[in-house]
Amino acid sequence: MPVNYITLTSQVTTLGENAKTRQAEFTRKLAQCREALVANDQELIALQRRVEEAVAQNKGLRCAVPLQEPLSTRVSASLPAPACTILSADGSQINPDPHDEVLFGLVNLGLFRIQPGSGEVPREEIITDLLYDEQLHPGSGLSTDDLVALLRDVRERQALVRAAANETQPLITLTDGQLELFHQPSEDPLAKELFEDYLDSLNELALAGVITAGYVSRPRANLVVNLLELITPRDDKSGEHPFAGITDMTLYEELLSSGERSAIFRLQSSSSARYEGRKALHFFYLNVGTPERAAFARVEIPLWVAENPGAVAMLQSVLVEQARHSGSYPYPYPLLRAHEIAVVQMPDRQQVMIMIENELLRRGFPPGRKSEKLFNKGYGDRKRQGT
Amino acid sequence: MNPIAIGRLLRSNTMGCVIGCKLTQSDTPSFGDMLRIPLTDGSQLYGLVYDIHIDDDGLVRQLITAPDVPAEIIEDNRRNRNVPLEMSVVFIGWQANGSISQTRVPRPPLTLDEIFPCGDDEMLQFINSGKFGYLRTILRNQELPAADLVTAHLRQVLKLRPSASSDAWAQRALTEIIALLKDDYPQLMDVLGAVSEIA
Repeated sequence: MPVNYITLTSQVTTLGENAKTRQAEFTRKLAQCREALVANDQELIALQRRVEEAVAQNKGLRCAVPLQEPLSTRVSASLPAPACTILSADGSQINPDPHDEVLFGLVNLGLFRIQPGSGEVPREEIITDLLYDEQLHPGSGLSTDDLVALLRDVRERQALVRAAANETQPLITLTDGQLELFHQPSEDPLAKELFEDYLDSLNELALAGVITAGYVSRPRANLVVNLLELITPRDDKSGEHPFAGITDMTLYEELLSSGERSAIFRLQSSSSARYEGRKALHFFYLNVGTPERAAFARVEIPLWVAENPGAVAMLQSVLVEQARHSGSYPYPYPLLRAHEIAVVQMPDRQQVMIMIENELLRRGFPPGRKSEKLFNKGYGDRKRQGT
Repeated sequence: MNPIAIGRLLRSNTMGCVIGCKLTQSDTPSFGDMLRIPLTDGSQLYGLVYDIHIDDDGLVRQLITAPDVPAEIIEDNRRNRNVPLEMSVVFIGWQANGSISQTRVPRPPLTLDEIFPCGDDEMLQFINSGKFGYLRTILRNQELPAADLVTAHLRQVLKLRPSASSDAWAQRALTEIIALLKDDYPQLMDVLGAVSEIA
């Protein structure tokens, strides 16, 4: 029996009993958070100063920094979106598994190009890179999984730079997820080098005036909430964060109607200083859903986009329009397709492994063996046969 | 001019096969069309299209819930995404060393073999090369829409060369159908009812 249902039943019951209490607590905190947002709606300078003071105390602070727009700003999308070209990229990977017959990794990128309203057939491209030997053991302190993930993110951006070179303006490039690289830059020399490559790609996109954005669907971050916590006294007894559990999405759910965006904020984080000058990271929240079904995203943009109102308006319109093309689960169609092109599934992994094994066998190497652990875990799907 | 392949083989057995082609192909065969599949040994197989279907997938199901689907997204799904049009074909005969047989094919074609439409001359050559043995193949196969398939086939043959000779061929074909179905009155009525639709 995979799960002890006897003990689980009582735990599920307790979860249900707690849900009501948690909901009441959540509603109370959310109301206070919204009050803080309204009370400080125009206090942009004071909020900026408060963030500066807090960063002086805590370099790792992660929060939103207001710029010129009041906190409760709502800007509608102008539809239909103007004519433009959209390039989207997404990546997936095979992480090396030391228990497999052969050790290899793979980064697979999907690139999708569409010109909305043109009626032209969109173009797709798959870029596949096999990782082996020194590429998997570069003598760095990075775990191989982190290395492959970092390579994937950097190559996504480089692929967009290459593709953008052949396009005319206006051009929008989209990626799924944050523009800010996860856990980077780290102290590892190879990670630093790859991070510099990533920044170089952003520089090239900035020089070309490409509208660049990272799209975070259903964001769980609390950047604006953290900002509001800076000006809200903590409970002296418990020391608990006053708005713990509240996310930015819940804060903006009632505020943003279909197609509307929030104010644009600058991102304050431990790595934000590394995104210098025109690369400085900014974001806004966007409801790409319909009046019947809201769908929220955090859209991360660099400064060169954030400081251009026309570029922001175009990006907002394009994202809302493209998300609506996806039907009842609004999500930008170009990102959906880039993901579909890129995704590597288990049969692909098996096929690549067979290709490598055959090549090695052809050259006289003995067949590889799964580790004893992996081999024996393969019996996990045991089923009773017959009577 | 070399003929243009309309698709390639997905799967097969000695009864028939399923072929796939792109959704946008303007020369996609119709129900009842006669096709040929050349094999590497110089022989070729003949078949009739008895089903044409287009599979959906999660994304297509999702897209139809959008209020309107722009032309470029329709084209993306038809041309770029891996959703082929599939055609089921029943084999009706084969050719080897210059002679045609209207019996079961000796071996199935292989994956990704090319499929071509039959020209008028090829159709006439085939139907005049036997004693309607392939009608038995069609009428005895419970899986096929026999009445509609036979009707579509007769209609195509009669369109080739409307003349006294083709009328005589159709008469002989009907006589063969009646003989084959003499012990299956409901099926016979189905086929004759469908055939009567031919103007």
